[in-house]
Amino acid sequence: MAFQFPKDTYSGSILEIAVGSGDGIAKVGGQNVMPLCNFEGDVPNRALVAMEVYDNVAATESWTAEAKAPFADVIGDPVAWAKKCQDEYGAEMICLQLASTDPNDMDTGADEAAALVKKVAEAISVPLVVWGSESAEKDAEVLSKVAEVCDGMNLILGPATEDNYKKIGGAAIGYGHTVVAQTPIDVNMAKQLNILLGNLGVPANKIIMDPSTGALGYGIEYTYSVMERIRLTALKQGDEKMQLPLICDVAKYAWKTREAGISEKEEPGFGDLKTRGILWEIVTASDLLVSGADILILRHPESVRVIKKVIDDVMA
Amino acid sequence: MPEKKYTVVFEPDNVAIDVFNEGENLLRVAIVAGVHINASCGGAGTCGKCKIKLLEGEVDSERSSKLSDEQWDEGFKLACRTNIKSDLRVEIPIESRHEKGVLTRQGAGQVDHVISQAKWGAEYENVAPEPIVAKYYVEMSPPSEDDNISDMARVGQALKRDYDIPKVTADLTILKDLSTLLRQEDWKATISVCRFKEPSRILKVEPGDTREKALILAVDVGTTTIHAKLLDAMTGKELAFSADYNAQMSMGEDVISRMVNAAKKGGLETLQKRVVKTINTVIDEVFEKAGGDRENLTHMVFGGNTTMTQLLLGLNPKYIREAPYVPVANLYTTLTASQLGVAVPDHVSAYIMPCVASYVGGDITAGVLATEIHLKQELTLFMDVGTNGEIIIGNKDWMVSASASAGPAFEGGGVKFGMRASFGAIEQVRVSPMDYEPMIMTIGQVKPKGICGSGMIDCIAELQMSGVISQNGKFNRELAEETWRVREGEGGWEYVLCRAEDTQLDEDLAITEPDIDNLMRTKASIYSACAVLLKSVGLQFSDLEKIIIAGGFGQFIDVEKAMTIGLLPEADPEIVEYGGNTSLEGCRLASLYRDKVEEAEVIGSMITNIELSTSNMYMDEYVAALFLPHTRLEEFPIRVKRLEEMHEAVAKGKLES
Repeated sequence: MAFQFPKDTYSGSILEIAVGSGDGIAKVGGQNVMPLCNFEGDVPNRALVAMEVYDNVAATESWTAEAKAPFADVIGDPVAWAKKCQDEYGAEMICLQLASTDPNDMDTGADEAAALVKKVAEAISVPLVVWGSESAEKDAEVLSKVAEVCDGMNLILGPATEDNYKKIGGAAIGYGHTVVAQTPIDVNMAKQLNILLGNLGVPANKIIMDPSTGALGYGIEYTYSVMERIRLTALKQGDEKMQLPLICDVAKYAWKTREAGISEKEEPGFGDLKTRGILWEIVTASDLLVSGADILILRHPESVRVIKKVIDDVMA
Repeated sequence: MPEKKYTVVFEPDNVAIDVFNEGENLLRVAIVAGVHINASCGGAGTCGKCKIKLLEGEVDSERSSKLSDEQWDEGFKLACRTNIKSDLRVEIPIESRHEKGVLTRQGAGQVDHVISQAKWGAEYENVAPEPIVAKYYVEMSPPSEDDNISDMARVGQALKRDYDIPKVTADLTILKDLSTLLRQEDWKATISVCRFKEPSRILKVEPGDTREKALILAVDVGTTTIHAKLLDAMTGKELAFSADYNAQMSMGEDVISRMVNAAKKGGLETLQKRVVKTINTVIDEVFEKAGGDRENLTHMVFGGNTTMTQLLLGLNPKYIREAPYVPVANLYTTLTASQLGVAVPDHVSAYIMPCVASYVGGDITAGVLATEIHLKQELTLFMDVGTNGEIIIGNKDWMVSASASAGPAFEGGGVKFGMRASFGAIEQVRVSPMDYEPMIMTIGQVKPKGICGSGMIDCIAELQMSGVISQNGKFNRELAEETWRVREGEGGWEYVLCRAEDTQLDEDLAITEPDIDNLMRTKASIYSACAVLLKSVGLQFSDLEKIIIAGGFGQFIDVEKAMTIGLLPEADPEIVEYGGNTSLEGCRLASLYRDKVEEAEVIGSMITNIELSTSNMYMDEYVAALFLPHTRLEEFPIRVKRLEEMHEAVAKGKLES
């Protein structure tokens, strides 16, 4: 008798969520198997790669030359930057980082930020993720305004946390957007925020979870365990509150590591700085991909090319 | 079930409730009936909000300045100052009325599960005490030329002859005065004998018959509160009760910080002195209340967690705190109470309830002793919600224990207006889901001065049901626009239970967001400890045949509300018992009956302790329990459904009005 590959069965499935609008609609989720276990069930949608675009030059100042080079002509012009990522580098989504709205940075006002978001969203056809400065109060104000100004565009707005989920969630309901629910890498806290958003009236198919993932070398095995448990709860235990796609911010944390940025002079054993940061981003992203990520936010075009290839291979 | 006396019908919604006691308070009945009547002074009769109109029936009601002559003549009464004397029909005030859908969701007219403290040791109720130290009256024939055995041997002979005490010893202090005292009342004397372990020891000799003058003290040495009962050794009757906050509190709220302080120079001595100081205060109070002479005390029994026991005895708790967590001893011999600094005569001996492990102490042995888990077949979960929360699961064949640092919230610590369950403590709270007005009852029906454990359980459950707080325990700040009671105070967001003028305080009495955080942490640590301990023995909540919740919550506990907040697992309310202070109760039983002391020692050796700090499941369960009622909503299906229905009904009610 021929060898039969053992197959696991699952009682639940991840909600399929459509983001973006018009011709640019993309779908994530929908699978009813654990990551890499495509042979056990259905994986209707591939994981998507988003590329980050910053609204201020200051945020890129600490970047390595290698990280900056691909965007040398567009840094300072978020619209051009987004278009370049979409047209030249194959970004499947854009993640607009509203870093300048940070009260400790330029404290850009909500109106100005929202106007920019609208410009970027109109300039691209792929779905747009809008990321606040992770200052709970300010994000609530900025993202509410963004939601209003971009009424009906079905943006992905985040991160919404326990401290500001009401305002961001409320605005998302009102203007038809999707919310990123961010919790500090814990299964139960993730579920709690989903329940709270649900109580508020945010439909389940309008929530994407951000479990707050780190970078390679900074506890990624713990991240793996938590994401695996989130998925097991959703698929094996059939917990509806956990059956949501996962978004992981790779770029910010991978490039922030000491290893990605330190000079060869200081750490000769670390190898070529030019490829090091990119490799760090690629390995972090592939780790998170096998942990269950449905959307990966990346920085470097080379990382994007490699990870898209990895996703192709996983889907094949 | 007691016999029903009267029926009260609340109009206009025709909600009926049975009343079992003559002269029951009308506002209390309304609370139990699930009928909301605004009341914010705790039943003191000063706020005048609980005006009801008597339609039919006879009551005993106090006249109030809050009612005009006209109103009084029309039949208006203050519910809180009204006692029921017959079947009644009353009309509730218009501003307290709720839309029908909301009313039914509040559980109006349903059987309520406010349970009073259970009575423990009922089968011992009319049994004459037979304590470890007892007074034995003997009449001896005087020595003669034919019978010239020693005085001590003569006493021994008499005790063997009359009371079957095989062998007694006495130390030098007794022997010094023995001869004089025996001859003082012509060879009639009362001998106090400690019969804990052979040989028995004579502790005191009194001329004549003094058996009627024998007193016993049972003392629960809690981390936060110290309770004592003075008992009559002849009848077993409770003569007085008193309690006070442990003076060690200023040296740390929990046992860990106490131990840290004990490690400092002179720390152990100071901690020992402080706990004894509080014990002495409480002893002073019981004697003040009951009268009586300390000379008549025969012995005392102390029950405390392992750390508190060691601190009382002046034993360094260092190794309790350090892995692998080892106490100095679990079993102690009897000792002289005055040696510890306790203000009692030198002959008074002290017995320490046996401990189980570093974090499961004599208070739990006492708790098991009182609740008799060790004698019964039914599978019982026993949770003692003290500063250190302890859990026991088992029955007469086996028992496992675990402990969790719960914090003193339900005893009043870490809660802005928290207090012990004494006069003026808010013990019941209802909050209208329509206009967020409260209905408050205090112990003694006086103006409130704080809130005790049962009131806090009610408060969180009601604030959640009425939508004032979310399931994560945070205030719905938007409500500040609808009611002045929700506001941002100095200590963060809060809900005002009573205006200052309705209290004994000079500020508004509120429950704050940090209070709720503390209470949630306490309930989460207890619930998660139960969950992990059950899992570790391969059981589930649904396997339990009985749940006993002990702790200083107050006179009673509302099981429904305790389940609504996830302090208790969702189970048939009928299997839940409220233990009250079972540690004190166990100490009381052990102080009165010698066989109970023996049982306590067996219990101590029967319990297997499971260390939660080494379980990687615990932290996870704890975070899961930090939600109302719980992150795993499926474990609380009835409460969650009720919550959803309530919120829908309120939304509908508000829409219509």
